[in-house]
Amino acid sequence: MDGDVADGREDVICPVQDLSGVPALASVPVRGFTWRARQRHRAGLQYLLATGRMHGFESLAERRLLLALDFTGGVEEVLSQPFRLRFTTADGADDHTPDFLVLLPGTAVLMDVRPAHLVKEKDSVSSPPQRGRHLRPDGVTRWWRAGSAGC
Amino acid sequence: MAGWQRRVLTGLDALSARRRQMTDQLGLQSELMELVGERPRRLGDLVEATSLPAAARAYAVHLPWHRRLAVDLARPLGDDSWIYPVGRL
Repeated sequence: MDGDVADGREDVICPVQDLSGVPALASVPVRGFTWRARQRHRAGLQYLLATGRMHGFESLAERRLLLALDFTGGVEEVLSQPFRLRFTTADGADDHTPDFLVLLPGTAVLMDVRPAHLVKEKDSVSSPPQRGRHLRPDGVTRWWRAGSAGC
Repeated sequence: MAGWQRRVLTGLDALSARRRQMTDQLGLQSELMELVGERPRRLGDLVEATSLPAAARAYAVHLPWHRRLAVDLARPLGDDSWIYPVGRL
């Protein structure tokens, strides 16, 4: 596990298989959640009763997912954009930032949220093997047990 | 096939407005629980049957979020919605 210090923060870099050893709760979102007029996507903060604090979202579909997660109960923690996944394919280097890491009792779930009509075939490249849970409510077009991704 | 029915989201949004903890000095939550315990009631009728309908509506929306009363979110949420005891939907 390597670390680079920038702006008073430390970037933690590790293989996917070592993700479980990363102090996720001490992390900050990869991007910010500011919004201005004429911005195409609607970012903001959503309060969750389950955690007692605000959580960032980058689209209304993500906001709806946060609300549904809060309603389901049992959510212990939600981390928005918890890390950036860098990988290499036949087309070259690429990266992907999952939308949410949701901690549930005894497990963790990585979620990506996107309206179905915006899901492209190439998006499957950044998705781990589709083992375990694979549900599709609302714009949640792929999610999987973090265990499948090595978290 | 992905997607929620829009009325489910609308219902969740309505319930979320009263999801935070509420004090209940008038005992309206108990009234609501007892009334629904007798038999399922429509939301409008349930609220009207309490001792203080104007205040009871907020609690009637608060309790389903916390699973103390049940409502079918597959149907539009309104005064005609049936409110059930938990576990007997």
